[in-house]
Amino acid sequence: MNRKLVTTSLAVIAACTAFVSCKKTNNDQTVISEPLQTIGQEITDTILPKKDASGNAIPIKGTMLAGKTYHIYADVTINQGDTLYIQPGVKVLVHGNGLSPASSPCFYVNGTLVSDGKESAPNWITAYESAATPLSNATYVNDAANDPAFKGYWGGFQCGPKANLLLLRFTHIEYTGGPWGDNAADYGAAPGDPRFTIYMNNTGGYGKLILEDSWFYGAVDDGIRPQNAYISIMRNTFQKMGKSGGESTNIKANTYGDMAYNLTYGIATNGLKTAGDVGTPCMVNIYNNTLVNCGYRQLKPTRNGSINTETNAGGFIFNNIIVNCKQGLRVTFQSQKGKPSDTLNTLYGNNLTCIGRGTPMATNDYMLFIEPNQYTLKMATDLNGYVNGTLAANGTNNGTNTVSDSLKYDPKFVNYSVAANSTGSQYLNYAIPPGADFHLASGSPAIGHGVTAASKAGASLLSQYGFPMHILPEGGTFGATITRPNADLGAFPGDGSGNRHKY
Amino acid sequence: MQRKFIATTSLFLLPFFLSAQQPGRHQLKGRITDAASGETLVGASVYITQLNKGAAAELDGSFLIRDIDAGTYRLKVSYLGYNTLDTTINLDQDLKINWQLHSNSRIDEVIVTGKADGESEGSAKKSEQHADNLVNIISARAIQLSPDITVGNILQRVSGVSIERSSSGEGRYAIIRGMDQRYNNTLINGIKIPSPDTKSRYVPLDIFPAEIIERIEVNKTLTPDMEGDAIGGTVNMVTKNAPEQPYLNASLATGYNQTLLNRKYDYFPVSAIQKQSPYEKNGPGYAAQPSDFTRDNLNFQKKTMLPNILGSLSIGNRFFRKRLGIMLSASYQNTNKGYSSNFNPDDYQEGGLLYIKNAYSRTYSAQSIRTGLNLKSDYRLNNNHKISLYALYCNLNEAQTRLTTDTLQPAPRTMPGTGQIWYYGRAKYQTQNIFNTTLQGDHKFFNDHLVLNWSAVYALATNRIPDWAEYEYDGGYYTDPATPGTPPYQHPNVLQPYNRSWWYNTDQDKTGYIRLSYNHKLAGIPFTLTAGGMYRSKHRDNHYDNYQLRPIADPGKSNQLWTDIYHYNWEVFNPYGSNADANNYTSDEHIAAYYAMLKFNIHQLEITGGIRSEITDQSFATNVPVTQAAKTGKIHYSDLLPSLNLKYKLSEQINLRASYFSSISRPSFFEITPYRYQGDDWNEIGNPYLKHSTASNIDFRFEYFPRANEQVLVGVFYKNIHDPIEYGFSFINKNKVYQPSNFGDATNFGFEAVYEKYIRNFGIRTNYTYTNSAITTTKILTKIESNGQVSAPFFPEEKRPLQGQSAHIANIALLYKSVKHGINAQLTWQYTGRRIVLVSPYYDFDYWQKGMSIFDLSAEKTIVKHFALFAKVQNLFNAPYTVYINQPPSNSIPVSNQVNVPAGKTLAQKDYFGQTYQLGLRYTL
Repeated sequence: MNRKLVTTSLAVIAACTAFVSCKKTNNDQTVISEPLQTIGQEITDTILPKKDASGNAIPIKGTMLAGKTYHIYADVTINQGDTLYIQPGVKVLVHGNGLSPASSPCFYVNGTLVSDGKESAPNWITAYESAATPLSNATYVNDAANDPAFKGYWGGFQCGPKANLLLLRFTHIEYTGGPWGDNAADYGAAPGDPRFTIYMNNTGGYGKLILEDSWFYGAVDDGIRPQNAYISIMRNTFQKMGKSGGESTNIKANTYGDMAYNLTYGIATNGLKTAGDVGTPCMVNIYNNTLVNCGYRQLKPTRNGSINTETNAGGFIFNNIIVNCKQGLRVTFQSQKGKPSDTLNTLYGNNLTCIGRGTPMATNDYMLFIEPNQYTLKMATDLNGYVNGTLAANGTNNGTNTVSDSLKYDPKFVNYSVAANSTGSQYLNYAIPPGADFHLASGSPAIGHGVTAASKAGASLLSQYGFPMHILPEGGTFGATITRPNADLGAFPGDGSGNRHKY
Repeated sequence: MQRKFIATTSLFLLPFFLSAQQPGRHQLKGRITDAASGETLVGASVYITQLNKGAAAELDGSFLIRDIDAGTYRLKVSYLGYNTLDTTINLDQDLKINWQLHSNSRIDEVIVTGKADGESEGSAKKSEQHADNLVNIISARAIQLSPDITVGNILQRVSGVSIERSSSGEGRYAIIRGMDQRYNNTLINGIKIPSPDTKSRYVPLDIFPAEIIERIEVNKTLTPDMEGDAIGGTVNMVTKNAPEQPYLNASLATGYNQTLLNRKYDYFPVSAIQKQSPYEKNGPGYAAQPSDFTRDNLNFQKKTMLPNILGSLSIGNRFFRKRLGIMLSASYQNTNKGYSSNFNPDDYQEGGLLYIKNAYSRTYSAQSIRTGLNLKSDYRLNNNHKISLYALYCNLNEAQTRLTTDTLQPAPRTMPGTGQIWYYGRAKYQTQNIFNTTLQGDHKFFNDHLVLNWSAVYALATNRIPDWAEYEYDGGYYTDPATPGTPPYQHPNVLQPYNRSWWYNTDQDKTGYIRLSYNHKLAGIPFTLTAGGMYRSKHRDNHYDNYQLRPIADPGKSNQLWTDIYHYNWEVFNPYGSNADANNYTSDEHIAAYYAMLKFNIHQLEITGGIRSEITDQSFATNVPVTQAAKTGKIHYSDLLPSLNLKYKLSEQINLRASYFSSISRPSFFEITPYRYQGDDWNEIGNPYLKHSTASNIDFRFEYFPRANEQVLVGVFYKNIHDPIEYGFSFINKNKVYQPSNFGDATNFGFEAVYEKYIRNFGIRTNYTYTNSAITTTKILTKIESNGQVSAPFFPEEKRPLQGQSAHIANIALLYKSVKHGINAQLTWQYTGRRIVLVSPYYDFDYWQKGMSIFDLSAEKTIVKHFALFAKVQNLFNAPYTVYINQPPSNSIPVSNQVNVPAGKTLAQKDYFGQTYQLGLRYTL
């Protein structure tokens, strides 16, 4: 146990005191301040990047100082071996319009970037608002064509072949996705393609990607897209990711880690997706996430719409709550792009899928518990209205979705009525209603329905990497804070150990 | 169709059965040949003035006049371009007399093609026989009689040559002895020409209309005076030379494609294609608006097209006491074609299984307009000095519509008739130009002992594909997963994002050639010593601009549904375009070459040998930023290329040849730029470290020329290619990339036979080539371990033939010619054996084209003096182009379009092009 974890626990306790649903009470309050860290030189200029005599941007390193607001006007590069450390309570405003690569600056991370926000002092890395680049507001709930959240004002974090670590804590990342330019090829894209919020591909080893307690709001295409990486993506909120296609997280080949306690709301395609490559695995545990209203802005049919594993991807998939997504969990046999998942190294169960059918997306085109003719089966521990069909020789099953099971598996959120949000085409709404609370109300079937451990005989990769994984350094400024699986389903378990965001 | 063919053939054969000698009379027969070359003069006439009776030499040069009363007659033997023979004979019995005619033009020894009628078939054979190296030649007459309208298609008639077809079925690239276009070069009048292709340096041969070409030479071995970048061989197109007499040849034809008789043409107006992108029109910094993009080009209308028009005109003469010769040729071909293609690409599954995900059914409508202009002029200052000017301009404009439905084979397809269907409509308009102008001088000094030739060449090739666009919407027929068993319902058609792109490239050559040769005798041995050099500066530009248009979701909906292109409400995703990319590159190449060559005869042995040095300097610059690797590059190498050609004249008719030459193949300009495409499964990237290929080539050939237009050729060849360039996997750091690389050594050997024979009115031309090449490249494979775990990919080596190489290639042409009745007819069969058309990155997943037989028919009949009617039918039996992968599909639901597929295979592609008919009129002075 290190100090970080201690203080984190204290903060949890402090938060709980303010909470009606909190089970414990603790009258003793101890708040011990942490030292304010500075790494390298302080960055006192607030107009960035600085330019050299010939007008070229000078790479950035050092510490962005608490309380300051920095303005970014062009691409910012962190060189290999360098670190940019952002103290808690920093605001970074990126001036961009999303129309061209030059007018959509991004962070090129070839070294280390740590945004060390705190619950009490979160960081913001967001778009600068101007008349020409307005920010989104509460009136946009189902209008992707006009919502500024999808304008991609800036280019996100592009972590190149030498990137070491990108770590975001309690940081708001908003309005990303501006188009790629000339150097797209270095980042596996073509000029004109939208940039992902975070792309990481360390071609020499493994990059480290730690995203904790952060808010991702608005992206043109995929949000998080690591390859050749160790990841821990925990307790984050993803909202409005993907304008007409795109996932909150689209985890690629040779990536290992956990995705847990995330809320994904109103995502274009899947909330959480993993896919390896031919002969190359992608092992990611997906547990205790809550996914709502995902999958409806993907223009290509049958790309699924909640949790999706493809092409040699595996992992433990447990304790998730899926509500009003286009389709429930899919362990894919074939999709238009994807090849079979690694079913040997996949173990899943204890997931709750609730659908309120509402009006069909198109004639007869309703949301599904499970897409038939893929590998996914309804496990005995699952809560959903799918009836397994016969198992084909290739391992797929052609089961039936029970129409009358609409709303039958309502997880009973504290303040988000699934029934009320299931009428008409409300499943298309992509904005979390103000005040929504996805904790579980008493009587929820999700309470206590989860597992805290699992294993599968003969699945060598599952045994090797574990549930959860411990492949990243833990604790401290540069380490991950891993939350273990919880007996309650979803991202907001009753013991308060999960996602701490309020809406 | 078949019935018509039989009827036509019978008509031609009819005159043969009407002959019987009357008693008491005599016949005169014989053969008419060129006094100098010995070639038969097909069509030369023998005329008995008193009797007003005559005959013409048939295909074998023979003539026959029957039923002549005994007596003394005055005879005239004449042939265009030859001095008429005026003689008297006494006929008291059946007589056989052979006559030799003398050409009335001066033989120019410098320019081999300066002969009276370089277009004739006989002349072509003569050149083959006398050439220093191994060459196959097709004459203009053969071109005229053949069913082919482009150079690309003609080439498949040459022994050892097969063709790679464009999507419309037209021959586009020549594969010479199993070596694909990468290993060959293309020349016009002996001068290398640049390519309008976006990526490669090979020249698409379907751009050249056949009618402006006098003859096509396929050189299979090289002499030191030839450019060394030909491992398979060179294709040299010789344009029509200035004639000795007034010359006029014109034809006008029309025709139709059978497919377009069966269905309508999907038409879009070319006027709706914007020649400039918004970026080009408005400059950088312009944000493109949705209204900047046209819609009419994507509104395809069913239309009945006008018949094809094909016209050609060649006119030439000599002026100023024959000092100035001019030949002008023009050709115009406006043809419409309809064709269709089924395409099922493979999807690799762990453990080496093949799964089919997409079943594309495509229908094409294409209008091709080919224009060719050729000027060839020469001015003879005197007998020793000549200046020539050649210019050639070829243009191909093609407007092509492609309508596609793609039936997706994975879920939600539950049975045939269900599944996602993706609909596409593509409009593509492509303009390709090749322009070449050459100023040439030929000078002789010291009683012809010293000969100097020089050439200055400017050539430009351009390619433009403006406003390429393909819209897409997705729908299909689904079974409701909630209520299986109910009939499939139609899924609404959801609009998808699409692109509008502009592609341009130009390739410009400036070349100078000089050649000095000295011929004399030394110790009674005649020899020619030649030295020369060449310098070429090549510059290539490539531009690409792309805009992505995305549908705007209907209000309150998550998508937009398709009604028609005019209702498609789109936004411009990248309004500034993408005018920056490694696709945008310039490259330069400077080649300096010099050589020394000695040719001498010792008795019957002719020896031509020497050495050539080629020095290559390449450089490229891309638009990528300085922070990216390989923004610019410079590559330098030099090669020494020795060669030796031996020809032993066993007799006047028989040659034995042996040759050795070394040659190279340079990577394409694109391959050495750091291009990178993000694929679904891996990146494709360029390779600036690519090495050029070098080869050693050995040939033996036996040649027997019983008569000028008869021949028997039998040869063997062996090639060893070092560092051949093929596509395969490499690792950059630990990322798997697919890129052009050098793969050790490849070998290629084979056997060729040509046989041509003419008997009276009939002729047969056949050739057969056996080729066996082998190359080993790395492929990708995974397996499922016994514990069920998928293995890491491993990269086994796979040995296979070179792409495009068929073991068996054969041609048979049956000819009929009756000078008397003015009839020419030709039935051809062309066979290309099975071959790899696409090399897969996966082990044992290559795409193999099934052996293919194509029959063509052509006929010509002289109707009145100077006028002939001709007809051509291409692809008589509508032979399909069929491609298999040698793996069965692992899909559990039957895959679309898999009909009559042999066990263990998957049908990857099947295309039908339809028959093409042509009917025309030709005028010859």
